[in-house]
Amino acid sequence: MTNPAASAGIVAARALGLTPDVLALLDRMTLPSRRPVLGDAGQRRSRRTGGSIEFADFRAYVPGDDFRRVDWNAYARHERLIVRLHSADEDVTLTLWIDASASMAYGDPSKLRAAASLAGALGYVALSAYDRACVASFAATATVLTPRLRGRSATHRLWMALTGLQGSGSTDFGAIGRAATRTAPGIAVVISDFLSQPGPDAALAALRGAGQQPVLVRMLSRQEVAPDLRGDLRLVDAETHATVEVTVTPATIAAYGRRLAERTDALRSLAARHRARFVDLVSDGDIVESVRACRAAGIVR
Amino acid sequence: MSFLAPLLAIFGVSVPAIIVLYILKVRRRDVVVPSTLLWRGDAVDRQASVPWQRIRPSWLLFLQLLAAIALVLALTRPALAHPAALGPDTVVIIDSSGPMQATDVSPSRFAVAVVQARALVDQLGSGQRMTLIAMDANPRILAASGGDHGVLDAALAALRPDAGLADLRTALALATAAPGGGGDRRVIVLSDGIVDISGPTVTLPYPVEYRRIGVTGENLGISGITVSGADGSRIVAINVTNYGTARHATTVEMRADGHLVDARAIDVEPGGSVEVDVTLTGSPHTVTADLTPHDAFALDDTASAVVQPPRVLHAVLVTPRNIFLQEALQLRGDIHLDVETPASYRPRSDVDLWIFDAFVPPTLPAQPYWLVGPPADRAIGAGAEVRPGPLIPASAGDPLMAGVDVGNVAVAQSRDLSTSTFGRAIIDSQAGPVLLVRDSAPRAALLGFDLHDSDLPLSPAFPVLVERVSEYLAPDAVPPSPVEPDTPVNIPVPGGGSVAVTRPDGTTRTLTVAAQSGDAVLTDTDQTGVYTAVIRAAGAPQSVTAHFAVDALDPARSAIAARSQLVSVHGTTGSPIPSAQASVFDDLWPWLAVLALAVLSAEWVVFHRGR
Repeated sequence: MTNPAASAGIVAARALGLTPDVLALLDRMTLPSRRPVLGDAGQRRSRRTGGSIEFADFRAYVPGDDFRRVDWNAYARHERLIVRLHSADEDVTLTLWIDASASMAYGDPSKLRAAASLAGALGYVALSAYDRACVASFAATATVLTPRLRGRSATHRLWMALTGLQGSGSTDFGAIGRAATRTAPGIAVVISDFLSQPGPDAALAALRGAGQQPVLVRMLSRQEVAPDLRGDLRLVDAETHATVEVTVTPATIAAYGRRLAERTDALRSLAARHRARFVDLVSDGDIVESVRACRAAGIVR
Repeated sequence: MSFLAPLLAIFGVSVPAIIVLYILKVRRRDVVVPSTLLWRGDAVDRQASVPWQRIRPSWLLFLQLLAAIALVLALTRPALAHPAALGPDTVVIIDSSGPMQATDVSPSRFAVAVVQARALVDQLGSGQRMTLIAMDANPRILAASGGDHGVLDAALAALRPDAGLADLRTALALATAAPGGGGDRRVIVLSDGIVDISGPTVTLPYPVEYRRIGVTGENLGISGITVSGADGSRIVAINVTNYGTARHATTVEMRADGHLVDARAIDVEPGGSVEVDVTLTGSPHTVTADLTPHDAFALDDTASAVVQPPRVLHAVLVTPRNIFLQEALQLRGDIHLDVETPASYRPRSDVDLWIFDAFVPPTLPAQPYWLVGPPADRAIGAGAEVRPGPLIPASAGDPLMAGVDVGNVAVAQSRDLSTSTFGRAIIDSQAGPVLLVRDSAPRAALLGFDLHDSDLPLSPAFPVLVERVSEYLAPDAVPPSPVEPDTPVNIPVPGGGSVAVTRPDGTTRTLTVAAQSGDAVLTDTDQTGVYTAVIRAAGAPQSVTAHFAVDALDPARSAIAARSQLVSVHGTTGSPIPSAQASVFDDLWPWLAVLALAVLSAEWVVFHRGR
């Protein structure tokens, strides 16, 4: 008999564009750890010494230490009680923050679908490596879509949560900041178009304060990168419904491009200030290329 | 409704300007974008890529146009006018002259004036006074400074129109002199503005309000009628004049003693005249020309003339020898002149006029006479010899001097008549009068110099002066040609007596003439038509009957176009009085301003709903 959950997961994976070929590619990837991660026992080395067999350091014995950790060979040579320290084996929690505001519903394919596909791929990488992963969306408020999942068998649940995303409301990065303390330390990947004010500055600070390593993935549509608008238009903001009257000419398009580049530079600078990685993607890009872009940026390896 | 500031209607260009702006306005297509964050730098670019676009129905456009129209109307200050209330002392002058009989307004200008006057009487409140003045050729006060509506209404009911021209100056003088006058007097003139314009311009010390009555100047009238020739071949010449601005056709019907003798259809150009000549057979006494059908002014559509029997004036010139005087007298076709020497002079009664040249009879005759250069040894010519110098008319406008120019006449010497009591002066000089006339019976004239002592006989004025003086001294019994209405008519009754005059309407006026007066003066000539005078001279065995005609031939009366202002009269501002009715205005601009504000508020709501 076929497992119904597995079947739904397969359907969700197809909806996210995660074909077997893509999954085969992802199987060869893991999440990086720029520094030892404090975490529960898992497959990642922790700064916190623990009960694993991998040697980490020595230190002088203090009353209360486990006698089994005393390096008796060192006592024989130096007549001092030296305790052997070993690294703790900890797994990484990957928190995937998906911008589900109204602006993400635009593009062909939509930015939200592209963001969900990328999140599904990154989550698969994490769960395949026995790391933990959870998915949360945010717009005006933050919503945690899954608990911390672990193991390859949980990928179906993660994918199904991603396929149910609908874009509505306006973006508020403060929602991430307010919810950051409720998520486990680890890697926080924020996928958004970052086209709202105020920007993610406060959210990044909150994530770092909560022991998370932030990663910014900007997802724009092709129409936003190279607008195909012309003539006398009244542009209506999908989130705020504010209007801007503009006559679109080649000069206007050029000015738009300059402002987009400035915005990109500002985001990149903001990410660097918060020791975060930054990836710039377009929604109509191939998922494989997007994952490779993430690998090139060091988000996966 | 009136506009108190009509020039500000120029702001009405804002209405098409709004429409043009709508045509030029950028109409933008709504496009929903994920974010406008990156577009905000271009928001100020409002240049239209397609400047001219077809205008489309829009509530905003409609409301903006409505607001603009309301504001422009408010700027022009529209106001509803209603007549101002009467003051404490009002003088109403009702024009009852001939042109007011025009029926271009129904039923006639005069009737409308009376109705308006009655309306003013109805407005009269307690403590307010009103004076009514009738204005025709002889203005008069109908009701003096009273507040009794009954008296005022009765005065208006008794008023009848006259055929003469309105004498505005006299009417205004009566208004000034009317009792109860104070600083708050207000004069209202109900007239068509057709008034006698002779005389100087008058400036009035009080406000005068001229309410014009009459709408058209179209009128075809008889401007002249004359009868010439002898019995059996008399010719009646009728002049028909078009006083209007359009071509008119009419039929001239000619009646002799009431019987139709001819009818001619004519067309008369605007401002032009047509003469119709009709030859009469027989010996009628009166002829009447009639324009049919009658137009809006019927008074001048009928004119009459009396076929006077040819008169022969028997004059006797008593002179040593004066060929100038003899030739001048013989120029009159109706004179039978006898010339005698002073030695052969003998008084007799079959003479109508004596002319004594360089001779004064021992006893002056009972008939009219003219003394020319009386000898110095007679009392009547006893004045010293003087050098008169340049001659001038003694009084301007004297009919005896009409057409007589004596300015270039030189007189070597003349008798000093400055102290003479002979009569009134006709020709004057620096040394005193040189020609006197006596109006009492018998009429007489005295020329102070010998004609051989001047170049007067050689001047063109001499035969005219002789004709004028001789006509004056021996006038016709009645005017030989038609006279204008309201013109006094002198009827000579030598030696006194009485004259019974039957007017065209059949009423009779009986005039008694004193022996020393010699003339009956008929002033009741306001009706047009044929008058019959029966003259009974004292001592005469039988009466003499004469006829004369009164016709409204004066173009000043027939040009019935109502005037826009009262001429020859200046108001308190020093300028002519325009046609206007004193009114009180209720300004409408505040209401329009409120409307504009409401419309603008609605436009604001509509605009923001559409964003």
